[in-house]
Amino acid sequence: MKRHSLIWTGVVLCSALLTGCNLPSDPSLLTQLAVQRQPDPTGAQKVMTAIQNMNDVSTYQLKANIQVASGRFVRTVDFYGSVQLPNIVYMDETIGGANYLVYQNGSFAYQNTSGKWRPMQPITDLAPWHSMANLLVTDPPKVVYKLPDQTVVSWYCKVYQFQTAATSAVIGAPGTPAHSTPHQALYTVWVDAHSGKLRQIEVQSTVGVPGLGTASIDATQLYFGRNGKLNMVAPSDLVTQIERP
Amino acid sequence: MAESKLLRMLKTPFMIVYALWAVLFYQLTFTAWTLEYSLLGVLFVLAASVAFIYAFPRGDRKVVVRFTLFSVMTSVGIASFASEPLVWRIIDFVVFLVLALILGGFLVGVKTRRLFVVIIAITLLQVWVPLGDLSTLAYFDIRYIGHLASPDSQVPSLPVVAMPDPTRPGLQEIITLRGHRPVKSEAQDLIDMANADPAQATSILNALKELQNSYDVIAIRPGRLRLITHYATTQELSQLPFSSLGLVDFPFTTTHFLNVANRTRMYLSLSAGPGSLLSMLMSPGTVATSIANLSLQTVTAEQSNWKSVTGHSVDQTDGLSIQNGYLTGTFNGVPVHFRTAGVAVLGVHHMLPLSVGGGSQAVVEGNNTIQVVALPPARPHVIATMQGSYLHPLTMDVVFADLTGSHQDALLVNTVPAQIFQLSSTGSWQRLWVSGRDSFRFETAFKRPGGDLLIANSPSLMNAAKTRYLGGYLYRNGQLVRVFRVYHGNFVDLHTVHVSSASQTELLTSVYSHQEIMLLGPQVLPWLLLVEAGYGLALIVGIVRRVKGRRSA
Repeated sequence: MKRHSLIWTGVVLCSALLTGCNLPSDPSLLTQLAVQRQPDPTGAQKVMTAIQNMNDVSTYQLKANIQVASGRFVRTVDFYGSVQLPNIVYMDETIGGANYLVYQNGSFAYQNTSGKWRPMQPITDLAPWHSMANLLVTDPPKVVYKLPDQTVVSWYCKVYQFQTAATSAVIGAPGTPAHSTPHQALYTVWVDAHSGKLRQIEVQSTVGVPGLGTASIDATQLYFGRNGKLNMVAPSDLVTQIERP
Repeated sequence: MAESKLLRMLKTPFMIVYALWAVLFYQLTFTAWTLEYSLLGVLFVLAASVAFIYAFPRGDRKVVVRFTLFSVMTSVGIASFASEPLVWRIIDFVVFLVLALILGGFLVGVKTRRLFVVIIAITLLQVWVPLGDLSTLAYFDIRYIGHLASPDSQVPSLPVVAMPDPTRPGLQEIITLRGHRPVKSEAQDLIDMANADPAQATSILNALKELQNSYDVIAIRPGRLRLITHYATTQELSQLPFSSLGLVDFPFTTTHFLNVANRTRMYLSLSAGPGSLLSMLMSPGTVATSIANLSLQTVTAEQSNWKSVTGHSVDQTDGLSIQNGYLTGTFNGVPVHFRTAGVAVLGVHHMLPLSVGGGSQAVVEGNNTIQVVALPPARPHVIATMQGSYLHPLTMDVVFADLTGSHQDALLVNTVPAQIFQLSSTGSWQRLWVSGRDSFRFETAFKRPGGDLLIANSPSLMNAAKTRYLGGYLYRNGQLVRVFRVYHGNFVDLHTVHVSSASQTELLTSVYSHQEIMLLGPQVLPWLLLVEAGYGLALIVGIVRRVKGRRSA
């Protein structure tokens, strides 16, 4: 009978385990996530240098997303594609689980929505770091912080962070009405320690939306495959659509 | 065989009960253990299985094990084609049935006729409740499952909301969206409508274009026997703020509502094309402003559209609204007009401890900030402010709950990690609890006299995966004490409602990626306890039989 009692003890132990699992308060995540950052007086200059180091980039690949959290939901748009400077881009986008494509070669610009290519307004500047340089010159942040070094994917990076509002850059920005007020945003910049070039940019901000409360915005973009060989001919289905409408 | 006639007659019903028990036991305990305790859970499952097998006398063991496996595998097999179109489901079912019977007849050692009855019973169980939703029986009874047949993948989960039922005072009805099935001659009707009403022509023609991708706004309320669906009327919808149904993939898609023959229809369009979104992204210096503006534009468009369709003008929460930067309305018959940083009203709650007086406060939310405003009879003023940061933004993703039954509401904030705050009598925030896991979320709270039952989606204990499962917790001594756990990972948009009963609290939820909604009510039969008791009983009976068998031998 000894083995039976052993089994029963096991069963009782298991059921005790199943009911006795409470969640204690554990602030470790809060402190872990709290950024340990130090003001860096030369930080702005270092970011600027990293931007200038991008000048010899002729092609790159981009992985990015824009997230908006409002109410109970976080909604994401994902981007993945290649750019050949100054004006060729082929980009895959996922909006709400549906797939979209953008192809631009100079002033020839098309977007694919629900399986059909349609012309679109060409994108004027395909080097995102120009906009960052602009921001640092026209709206320089008061303080630039240095964060602990991080490894992004497999690249060892120096990390800088600053907060500013893009006042003058707003005018003429896409999707902006004339009266729009600039939004303060937190910019985090990852500089590749090896090449001294930009690796990743993250922009975080919030906006108060009437009836919806706060919408928090997070846009992250990662550059890789710099100066790699790309074949940027127009996608075959776009060509087919144009040739045989 | 010395079986009496009675025993033989009882054999088939007994096998049906046993098979259903095996399926339920597998779903409610084995699945639960593995999901919560990962490898350790697998060990539990092995231990429990070995004990179960051991309990049966050697002669019966083979048949019992084979039949148990047959039942569980059949249930999983049937579930695997549950999501197919009806025709394929029938074809697959017939093929499955034939194969299962042939294989079962060879391998199980039970008469094929009996196996057939068992398969039918397991199928009927899944017609009643899909296998994946059986896990809810661990704590709830399923009052309603609505399959809403969304026409496109653009809607990962359908919005669902409850509002006062105009026909049954004190109770609520469910409002949600259902994929629209175009009917014959509908296109022609729309064309005629557009020509008859030039003011609405553009929106009607747009709806025509999106006919395949549109939704009907429907209302669901209990009928005599079961819940019955009807098209929501404009009068019903006029009570709702635009945000209850209009925020599918906000701000990247814009929802459009329109009335077609007294029925409200919805369809979606992209707020900004892929090209212009890419253009915003390519300008990181201004991307925050562009997306903020996109959000504001989308909301303005949706709000005015909702107003023109339903006549709903002002979003009021507990009689209060925010207009032009002022908290406006009447509270306790006293008019309120107070300047605030808020853009939305979260509600009226007892935020302060009872010792400072039992008054109510309005809680409003502004840009990354939450304000608590004193209400009449007190002089309106800001009692406390909570400021979010860019790393821990404060959205409206909060829950209010009376943690200990002290008539003071705590603020449960779904930042990453989730936190619980309470106001002290001096108006400062005390942090009562912080989640140790970043994917933990509070969803809603069931009112309970001794302290509300907090409904949360929380990750499993011994698994690093972020997958969340439904759980109920009570706040006791600085800890969340687990009351129940339902291993269903896809519940989003949870609401505490009273749809079929004014006294019983029900849980209304949308199921992520399944385009269905569920209404869960309190249990009549404690299913989890019953299947566990079934296991215990089988073990005891088995051991008793072994002991007897050994003695007689």
